[in-house]
Amino acid sequence: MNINRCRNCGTKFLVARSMCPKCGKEDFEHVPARSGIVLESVELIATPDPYPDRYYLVLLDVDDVKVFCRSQEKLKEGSQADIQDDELGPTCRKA
Amino acid sequence: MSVISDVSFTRFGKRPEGLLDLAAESALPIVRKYGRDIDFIVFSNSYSGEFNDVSGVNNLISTRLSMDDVPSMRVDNTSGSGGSAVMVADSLIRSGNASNVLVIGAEKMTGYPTKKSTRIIASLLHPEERSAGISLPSLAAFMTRSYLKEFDAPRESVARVAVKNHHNGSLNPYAHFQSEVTLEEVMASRVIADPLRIFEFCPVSDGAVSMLMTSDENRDSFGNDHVEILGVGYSSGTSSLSYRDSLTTIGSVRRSSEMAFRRSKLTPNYMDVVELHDMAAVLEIIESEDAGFFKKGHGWEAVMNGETEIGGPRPINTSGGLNSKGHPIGASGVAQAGEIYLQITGKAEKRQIKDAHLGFSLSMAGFGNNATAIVYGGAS
Repeated sequence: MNINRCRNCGTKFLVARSMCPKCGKEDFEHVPARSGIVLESVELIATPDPYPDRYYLVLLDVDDVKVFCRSQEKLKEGSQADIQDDELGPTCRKA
Repeated sequence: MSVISDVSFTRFGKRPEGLLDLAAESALPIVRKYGRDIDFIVFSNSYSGEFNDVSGVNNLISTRLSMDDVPSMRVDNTSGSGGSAVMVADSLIRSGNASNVLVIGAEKMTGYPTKKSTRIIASLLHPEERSAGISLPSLAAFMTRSYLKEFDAPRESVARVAVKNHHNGSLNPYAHFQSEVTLEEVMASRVIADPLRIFEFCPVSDGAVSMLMTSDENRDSFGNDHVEILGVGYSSGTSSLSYRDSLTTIGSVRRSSEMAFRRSKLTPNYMDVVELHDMAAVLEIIESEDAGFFKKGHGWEAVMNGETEIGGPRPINTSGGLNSKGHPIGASGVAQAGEIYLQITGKAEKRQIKDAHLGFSLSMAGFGNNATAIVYGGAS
């Protein structure tokens, strides 16, 4: 998983954009998101296809950008978590 | 100004019929009376491709109704399609591009395993966020946790929305669920996305509703029961959830409501009856604040005090809301307008609000990606 960072004004965001939402420039660098701080996690029981039947969805703060990932265990708010992509998407676990 | 002059519902729920059957069932009572006068069809529907393997549904339904030559369009704005359809019909009429518009809202969603329908609905998310395994209900769970924490609200307040809306649904012959639930039953029901339980979410439903909308000048040709569109407001917010500052306020709801009230020259205090987009129970509380009915952080108190019940000073979701009436996606926003119509024209039977003259509806797309707010008034 990568975070987008505007090379002109430094604005960071997760979802791909053609222009920077702050300065309008079109030049970005892609910074790998490797770890973050747990903001919130919820256990999801009714999950979408093709994901497993039960997991925790975790909202992480990665260098001031919010990032969602999937975890098999409950992660404590304020704790550090490592991010790793699997075949479905970003996952995280206790650092 | 445009007016709503007639409304026709199908029963919402798990229906054996197909999408076009349901749409025709709701439209026919209006078409039989006024078909020759209708010069535009607006079809609110979002997922005919994904759920029903059909596209171009607006032309399919116009031929089904033997209105082959009547111009039509499909309005797709995910869960907010219905509010957008009413906004489009209002614009067509006020611009003079059409005189008498048949608005149909319909969706056929049942018949798939829950995992499959959850996936279809989640397709409105950005891939970078969706790939984490997010569902729309999981976002409501994040929202609930944040709201309860930020405003020190009791968990029970969210469940009480479901109790109230199931009661209202039990009085609505078109609702998917027509039986009451107790607070204990809600709190003992299956967890879907912690802490929210199944009774606190809308069901997956099929259903349709149709309305005849016309101009103020033409209204007398279409019966005696009219409800005026006094103001429409619309707004978007970022569709990137990770880019939002707060999980306890929805900018598109706030801005669209402000616009609708400004345009109608009215304020929230004047509204006799209100329909909000309670896909999850917590959304009713948050929208009731963002639309201006309660101060931020105080919506939960209004629920606990019974203020939002039928008979209370600020009745919300007298129809049962999406929570109990069901949420056939393309139909929902049109059904909100339909409920306000029934209330203001005094046809809401067992759930009738006394002296309902002014109403408000809030139709929301995605998880607040955009919203359409409408202020309604006057029966004559």
